[in-house]
Amino acid sequence: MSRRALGFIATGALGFGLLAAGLATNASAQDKLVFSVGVTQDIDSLNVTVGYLVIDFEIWNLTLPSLTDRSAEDFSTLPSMAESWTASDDGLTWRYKLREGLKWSDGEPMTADDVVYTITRAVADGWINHRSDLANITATAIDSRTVQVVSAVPDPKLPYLGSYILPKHVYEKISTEEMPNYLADDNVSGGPFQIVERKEGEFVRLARNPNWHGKKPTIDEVVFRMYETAEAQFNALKAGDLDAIDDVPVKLFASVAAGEVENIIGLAGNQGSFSELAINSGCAKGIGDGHVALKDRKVRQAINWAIDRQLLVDKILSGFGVPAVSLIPSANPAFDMKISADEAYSYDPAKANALLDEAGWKDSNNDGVRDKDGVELKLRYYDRSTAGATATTPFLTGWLKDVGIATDVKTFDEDSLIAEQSKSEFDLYTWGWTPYVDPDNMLSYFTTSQVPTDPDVGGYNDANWCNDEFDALYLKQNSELDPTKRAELIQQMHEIFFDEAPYAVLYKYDNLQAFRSDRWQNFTRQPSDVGPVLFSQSSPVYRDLEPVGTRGGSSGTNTMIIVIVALVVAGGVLVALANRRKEDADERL
Amino acid sequence: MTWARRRRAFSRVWRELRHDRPGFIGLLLLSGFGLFALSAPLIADRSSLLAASGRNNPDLAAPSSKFLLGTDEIGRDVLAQLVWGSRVSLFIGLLATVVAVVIGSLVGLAAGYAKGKISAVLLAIDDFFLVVPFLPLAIVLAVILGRSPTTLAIVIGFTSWAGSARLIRAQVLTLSERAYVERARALGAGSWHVIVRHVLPGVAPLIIANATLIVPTAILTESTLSFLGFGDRLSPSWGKLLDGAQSSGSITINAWWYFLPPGLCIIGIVLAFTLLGRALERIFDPRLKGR
Amino acid sequence: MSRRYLLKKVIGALLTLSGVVVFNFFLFRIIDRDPLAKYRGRSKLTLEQRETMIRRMGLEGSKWDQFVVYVKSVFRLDFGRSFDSTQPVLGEITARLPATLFLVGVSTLLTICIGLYIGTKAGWRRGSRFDRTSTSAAMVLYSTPEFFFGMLLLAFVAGRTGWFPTGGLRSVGANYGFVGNLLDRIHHLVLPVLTLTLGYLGSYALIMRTSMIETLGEDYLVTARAKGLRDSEVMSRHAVPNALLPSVSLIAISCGFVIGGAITTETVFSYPGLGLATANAIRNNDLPMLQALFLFASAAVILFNLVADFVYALLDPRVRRAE
Repeated sequence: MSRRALGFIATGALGFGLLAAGLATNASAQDKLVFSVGVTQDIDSLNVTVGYLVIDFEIWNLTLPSLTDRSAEDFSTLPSMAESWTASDDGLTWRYKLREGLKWSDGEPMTADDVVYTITRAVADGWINHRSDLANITATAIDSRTVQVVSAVPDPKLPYLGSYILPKHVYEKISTEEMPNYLADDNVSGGPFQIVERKEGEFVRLARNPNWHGKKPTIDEVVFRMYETAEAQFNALKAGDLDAIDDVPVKLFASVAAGEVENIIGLAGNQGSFSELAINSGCAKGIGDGHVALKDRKVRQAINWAIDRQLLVDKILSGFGVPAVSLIPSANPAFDMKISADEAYSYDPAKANALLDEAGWKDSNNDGVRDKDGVELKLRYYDRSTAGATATTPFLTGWLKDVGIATDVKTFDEDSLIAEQSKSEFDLYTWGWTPYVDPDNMLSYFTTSQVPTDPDVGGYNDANWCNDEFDALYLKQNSELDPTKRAELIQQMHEIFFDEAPYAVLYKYDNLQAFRSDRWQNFTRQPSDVGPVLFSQSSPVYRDLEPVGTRGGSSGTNTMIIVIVALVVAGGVLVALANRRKEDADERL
Repeated sequence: MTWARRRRAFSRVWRELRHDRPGFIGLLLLSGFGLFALSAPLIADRSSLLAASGRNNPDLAAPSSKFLLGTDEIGRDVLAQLVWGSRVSLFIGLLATVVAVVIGSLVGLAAGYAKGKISAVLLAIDDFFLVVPFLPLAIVLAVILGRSPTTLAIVIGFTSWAGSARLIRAQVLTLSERAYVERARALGAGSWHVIVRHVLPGVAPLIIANATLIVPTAILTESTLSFLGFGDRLSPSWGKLLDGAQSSGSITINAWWYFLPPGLCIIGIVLAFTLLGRALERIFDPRLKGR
Repeated sequence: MSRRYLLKKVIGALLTLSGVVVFNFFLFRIIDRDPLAKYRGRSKLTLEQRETMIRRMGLEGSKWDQFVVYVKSVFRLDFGRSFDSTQPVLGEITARLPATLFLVGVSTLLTICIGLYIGTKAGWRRGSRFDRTSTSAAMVLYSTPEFFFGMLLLAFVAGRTGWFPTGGLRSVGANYGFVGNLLDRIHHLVLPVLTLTLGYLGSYALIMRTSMIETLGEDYLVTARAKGLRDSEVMSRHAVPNALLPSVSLIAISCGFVIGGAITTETVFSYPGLGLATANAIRNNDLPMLQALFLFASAAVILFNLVADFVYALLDPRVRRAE
């Protein structure tokens, strides 16, 4: 048989082999209903006592139970682990009755002991994500299905108790010293899903938890896949590699929202996420080395007047957001500051200049930078290396320069920035928050008790700001059960915050998300109509999703690729053989 | 006497360059870019580089009579950034090359002329720099030392000198064996005198040709650093434009005016320097003729 | 090849490696990064706990003490724990190594094959149309930054047509079986490999061409032609093997840069290899990770330079004779 024929056969066999393998593998890929979500931020830690990023919370919402849940429509309290509850007459004692037959994913029973253990230990060890909810709470187990919770003061948040409950049988083996290093890879879950596979920096895969006590989700698996950039993620969504993404690049979102991209729908959800410029206000009880100028309220106000928030919303958010002038303490906009447009901070460099002059900061040596008593008004400006976190920097530094404030910009990774903040050794830095539903948590972050005094412990009061009146009002609203009175107290707190300006709050931004409408439906928003779907307060969407028709997409592409590869290989071999043949003839001559 | 000699040498080079097609093209391209960079203030006002300058402009707008290369994602004039960016890219590229060539020449001259221990030590240092991964090193140094254009240029130059040192040393070794150097030494001339008066002029053409070939690497390194986000954030540069184009999703919506011009400019200027450099190599080293 | 030559080269390599170790140590002590930053403000660490952690990270004592600890740990192949993930650095690196090897290995292979072919043909027929077009194309490729190719491919091929994935190492979730998994990985590799190959193809082709031209001027070829050997024979039996010599060194040296990874390509395609790990480690000031990555990358280059020296000596009779 000639060499050529042999070659042909070999190639054909190879090609068909590849094809067969390709087709065979596609069958197995279609058995499970998998929902893939793209994320640009990797999990920093699944350990609930350490992690603080939004993605961590999404996964905890899916894997850790709590006594109560929040409704998707309007955040109202729903039963979860607890099926019912009763209150004492003074409203300080609550009894929660747990459902029957609760089990963790590993088969161990889920009882009142787990709840009591979690609450007690969280308070004793000072777990950051549980601290503010449980500050005044003690819990005891009346029996295996009844938990008694006692609050030291009237608590307007109860009966809602959303703290993540941990499995006692896993966590009692971990000492307080080891806890920060614990990877939480035990994958014992009490939520609708459990983690089955995690490749750090690549993806984390969750599968349905058969022991989940709530509404059974239709999807079999959820996968969170990490991408380096929002744009790469968006391309993956278009190509069918993903089913949903958060953080759609702003410039691309407009066309998606207008329905111009086939099979993809876009949703702009708002749950109060906001960005701010934190100003080291130099609390007398705190530590650190903030610039002396920033201790003066007038200077901080001047900074607020120097910023054009509307332009930031127009240019950076493409209009998907609103300017903000005070804290956004809640996902519920009813708790935002009520202030008229002409009183609110707006872009007024003249006012900023006037305030700085009044504060005594004038440019005496004509170098373009204000000074006073021989000290230049040059501020350390820190931003983060995370994608998109530096968008406001050129704007803000430009405007500050316009009013005579020089800035020295330095970029940090998030961990290091927190370390600097824990020492209060900075002047200005940019970050953002996503508030809870109840305003209490966010407001607590600005009380004096949260001012860092020990760099190893740190504190959420990242403006290093303290105000006795604010503290007093906080305690009042913390135990005010009448909603109208409480709202008034909070408004008063806003007025202090606005006046003292420890932050230059920039804007509230929408969470821009996109989904494959050809594959899925029932994208639950929280709250309904205005909220986001992904990364919401209690992540209900994963329990509600339903598929649309059959999934065609990628399998077809895979087959085509297999065919192309086979053809290319065949072609290459043929060409090589043909050439060889010519050379043979040459040599023989 | 030496001036006349130098002038003759220069006109010889110029003549040969004119006839060397690729080299001449490189020279023309280079002059074009040089003019482009110099004319920056005429083409666009410096204030168009400020973030807030896009205030009243449409974002990611296609080229129009007002904005010849359209606008970027916050409404700034792309042409303004391109032309002022050319200054930054050229400045960093040239300064980095000067740094690299100065260090490389000093090391190469010393290693080639001095024998024994000094030479061995210098070679070892050179080996070391050839071996360490230069891009991560440049990034790390940029992060430590700061990211102003001057610092970046020094950092890039510092990580790029190793190759030239080798080349120069080889050339110095060859030249030191030439008769006139031996004669000068026999006549009692000090080492320094010999190096400057006799060896250096022989090595100079090679240094120049080599320098012309380092500039493109320096420019490519700078654009890579800026693209990865480790460059100077406050000044425009071509790499930064590409980074901006990518992170704002401009590629997906085909805002070609944002990412094609800087990319093409980088290709153009690197090509120009490379063509010119290779031509100079051909002219100065007759052995390389026909390359 | 004499034993002295071997020994000299090996000693040289070891010396350079030691230099890298020392440099590594000092470079990263200059970076101002709080090793316990991850734990600040997050949990209460007692003084003993902090001291233990500092000791474990090798940051206790004077600079000299730390250096000794560092060198000892390098010998034990203990590179500490990543500041970012708190996992052992060695494990993180070996986990990502195959991905980068795959990517850089395949593209280096392609670049060499295609570059050699084009360069050889162009050099052989210098001045021909093939030569002129291929050399111009090579120069343009050489002048293009590698990430630019990546950007364009990502946008126009992956984004528009959806034929290739837009990033990552593999598809998540479904298990395709061995062949299927392999094909899936290849599927994800196509664009990154194309990007890297295009990025380096230009310089390979040009170098090969130059090498070919220089070889062509050599005497022994004139002899071969005079003997009546046909052109193609002269080419394949004499010219190409000798022109290949410098390429061999080049190939070996390029293999050394495998570990350095393709930082920009991996970033553009979110490909989780060592290049991306390096970029992230720098962004996050993850010192243990950076130290190890630098060391590995330099070690690989040193190793392959050594290999290149040996192979060159084996192949080039002139070098052998000189010894």
